Amino acid sequence: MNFVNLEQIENSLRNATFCMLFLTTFLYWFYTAFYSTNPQQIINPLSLTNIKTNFTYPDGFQANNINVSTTYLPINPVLNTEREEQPEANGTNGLLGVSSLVVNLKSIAIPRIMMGVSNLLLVLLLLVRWEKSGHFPLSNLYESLMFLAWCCTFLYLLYCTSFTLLVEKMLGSLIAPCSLLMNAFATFSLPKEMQQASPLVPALQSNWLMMHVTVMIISYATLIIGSLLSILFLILFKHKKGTPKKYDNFINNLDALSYRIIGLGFPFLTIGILSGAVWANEAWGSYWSWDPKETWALLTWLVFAIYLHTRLTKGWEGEKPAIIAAVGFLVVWFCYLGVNLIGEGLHSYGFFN
Amino acid sequence: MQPYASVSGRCLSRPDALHVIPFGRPLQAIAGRRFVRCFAKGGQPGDKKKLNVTDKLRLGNTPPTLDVLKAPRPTDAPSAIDDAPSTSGLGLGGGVASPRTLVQSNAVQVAWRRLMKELSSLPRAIAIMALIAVLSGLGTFIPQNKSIEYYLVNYPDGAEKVLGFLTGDLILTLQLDHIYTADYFYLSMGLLAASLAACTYTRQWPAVKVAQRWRFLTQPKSLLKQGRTEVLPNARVSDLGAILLQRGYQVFVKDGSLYGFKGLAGKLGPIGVHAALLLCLFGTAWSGFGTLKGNVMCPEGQDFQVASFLQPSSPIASMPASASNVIHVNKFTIDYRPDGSVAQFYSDLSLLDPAQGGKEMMRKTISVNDPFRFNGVTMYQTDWSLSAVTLRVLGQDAPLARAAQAAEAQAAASTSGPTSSASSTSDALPQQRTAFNLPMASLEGKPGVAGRLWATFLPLAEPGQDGSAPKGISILARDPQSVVFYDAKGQFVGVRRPGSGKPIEVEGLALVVEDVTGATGLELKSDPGVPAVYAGFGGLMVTTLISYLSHSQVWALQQGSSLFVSGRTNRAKLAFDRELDDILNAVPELPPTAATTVASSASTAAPAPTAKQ
Repeated sequence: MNFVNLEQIENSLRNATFCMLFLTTFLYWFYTAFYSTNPQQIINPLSLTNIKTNFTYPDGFQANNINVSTTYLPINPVLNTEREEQPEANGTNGLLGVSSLVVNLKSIAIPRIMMGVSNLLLVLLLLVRWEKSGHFPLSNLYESLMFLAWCCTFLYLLYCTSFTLLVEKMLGSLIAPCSLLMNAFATFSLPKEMQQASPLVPALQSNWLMMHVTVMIISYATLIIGSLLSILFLILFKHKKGTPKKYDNFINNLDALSYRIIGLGFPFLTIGILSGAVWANEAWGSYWSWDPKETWALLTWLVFAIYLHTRLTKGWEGEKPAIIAAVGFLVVWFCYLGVNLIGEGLHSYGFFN
Repeated sequence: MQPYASVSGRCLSRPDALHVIPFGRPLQAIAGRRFVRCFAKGGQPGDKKKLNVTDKLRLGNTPPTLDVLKAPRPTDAPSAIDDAPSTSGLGLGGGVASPRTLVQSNAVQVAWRRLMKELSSLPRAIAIMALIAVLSGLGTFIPQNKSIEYYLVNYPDGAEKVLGFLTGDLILTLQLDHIYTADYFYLSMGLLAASLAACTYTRQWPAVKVAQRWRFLTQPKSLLKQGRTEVLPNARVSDLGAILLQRGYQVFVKDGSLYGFKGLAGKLGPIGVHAALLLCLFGTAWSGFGTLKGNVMCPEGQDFQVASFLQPSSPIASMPASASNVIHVNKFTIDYRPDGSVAQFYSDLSLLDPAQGGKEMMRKTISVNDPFRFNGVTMYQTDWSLSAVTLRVLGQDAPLARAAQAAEAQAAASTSGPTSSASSTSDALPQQRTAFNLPMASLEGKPGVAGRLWATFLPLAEPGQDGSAPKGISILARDPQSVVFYDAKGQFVGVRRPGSGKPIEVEGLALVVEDVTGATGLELKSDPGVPAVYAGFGGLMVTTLISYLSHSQVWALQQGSSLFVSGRTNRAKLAFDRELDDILNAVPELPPTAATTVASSASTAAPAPTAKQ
């Protein structure tokens, strides 16, 4: 491909990704702040009648724990108003949120589409850089930050329909600015020479590069987002007194979501660390040399292992694991960026030595 | 009499009563755990009998009774094990079902069980992990494995103490200069390994057996204890079973009671993780004792014996099979890119067996990320240097040329008499005669030198009477691509590329750089623990992924025409909530008359356990 053409495409993509992420952030914040969703009754289109049967509990049965109001009427379930609104509560359905032929402006579709477009633009940017440099686009800090931003948006798209609408909006409001900040830092704060893709040194010319760095960045993204959700959970948990009870479910959902995301990030972190160890053994015969980056990755792994184990301890649910995840947030960032600035070791950029 | 009859959902009952510790209350205060025990013998529901010291002493010294230790059978209805939710530290649902039936215990067994219990304590394991984390982090801030002077200079005692207390002496005393090989670090790792093993043995493995059992519940109130419970009026348990089967659950139905589960692998995953971690730690320990390694810088065209450069890491390390072999470096090349940066290093190596008369066993061109492997020894391309430069002096007037000519003429005269060939070949021979090697030395790290630099010196006169340096030509090179010449006064003269044939005039001599001989830096290693470590790594990667799966369980009980359904999962709580919603929505509601006939038939129907796959 014509080199000049690629350069222009890359520049325009740089600007486009930034603008798109900026708009996405703004949209999510707007939607979360102003468009609240009310629980509504789901009408099953196949239902013919609204059957509500009366039945009596067996004699002597104490309905202590049973959630009586969620008595199931299979054909036409009635929502419990105390539970959080269902994903399709505002009348839309499906990923795109398009209900019949009318696009509801208040639907979650628009921010979702924006996030999807941001994701796509980041993919294009990375592909263009791959074409330009000839090697996998993960060789310097700029590219890894872009990939990290992509991972965050992809994580959103992965989890957006798994939870309720309010959780999804909160997740988007969290992930969009994260990606925006990563993108902005990479584009505007890094020196221009650091953004250029230079040819790989001999040590990086290996297929392990793709596997190890990719998986590590994916794991960083998941752990960062999961830890941020835990911090959000902590803040809301501490200030729970004034909020209506209906948001209790939402707060618990945040906790469950952060557990799930960190639970996904932990295996990826493990695979990343171990593939790095195998690569090191193939390259210079030592699978663990206590390099600062390796050591901090192990530290991150230990902190999140402690997090996962703390969740198993009865009586420690909710707050204490979230504090550990908050510590993990700092540890992940130091592992990703801080260690490179210390000055020593294989992964050093050597700014401060 | 029912064992564990006093169930309140919070009973942390254990089959072995030997964990009763005298003076448990102060220990509880220190350790922060609640030692609540429910003992059988006619306890009422909700009765939590707190033991006083006398009880504990009595129970601690008497052997446990049979019924306390006997595990409930699978068909027992409201057993504590089925009804107790996750107990502290187990995290895998249900209590520990230990089918040991002990009548008597001796001191060794008591001590062993006590040791297991202490080691498998989860807070303790978390504390050990945190300790290792802190120590590891410390090692990244204090430079490791430097000389003693380094620490004494950089962490001085006196007014400018680092952080106010950190002096070089403190660092050296606390072994902070080699944290990762310090005693306390090894001890922490050993404790972690012991904790992992103890946890797997005492908690996880028994819990697997519990998880695999079919746990039918026959009382609605037992269902309440499991988790979220819903009631479906006019529904059949078989319909629910069919829907669960469709969703991938394994379903078992008996007497109107249903038990279904999915994702059991998610429960076995953590056991695999512990086992893989233990394998990794074992492999690294094996490596720590059995590794032999070393570095060699071998110039092109030279040989070295493998065994000479393998240093054992401990006395019990044994030499690998190929230790007696000899490596011959055929060629060392560096590939450069147009912009001057290095693309790759290549070493063409031959492995020769002296026992077979120097026969070449293997030949391979290695590069970074592509090592040389033979019979237990692996050689990695890690370094390089310049070892010599080959120069040729042009012209007959060159001092060495004349001297060489004279020597050759003398040799020819002594053997075969003066021939005219000596003068006729004088034009051709000086080309070879006056080429010579000058070994190069590294100036890296010397004052005023940045980066890697090799240099050599061509003297043009004898050293002075007072020992002063002789007059001569200085020749420097940073890489095999170019050689720089300086005259006797230290002035820069010019640069030449080896092999270009272009002469350079320095101090009256016309020099041509024929070649720069490189040396390849190889790291030799023989590590017997690597297969174990790799196996541990592979297992760890797979098992951590499997542990992400969520283990979901569903119980159902047909009571008349209504169906009580209860469900629980350990990880994906919200997804399970929604799945349960979908499942329950899908259960068809029968007309009341049909439902009652179904109910009556269900109670008289013969049990037919159904299972999928």
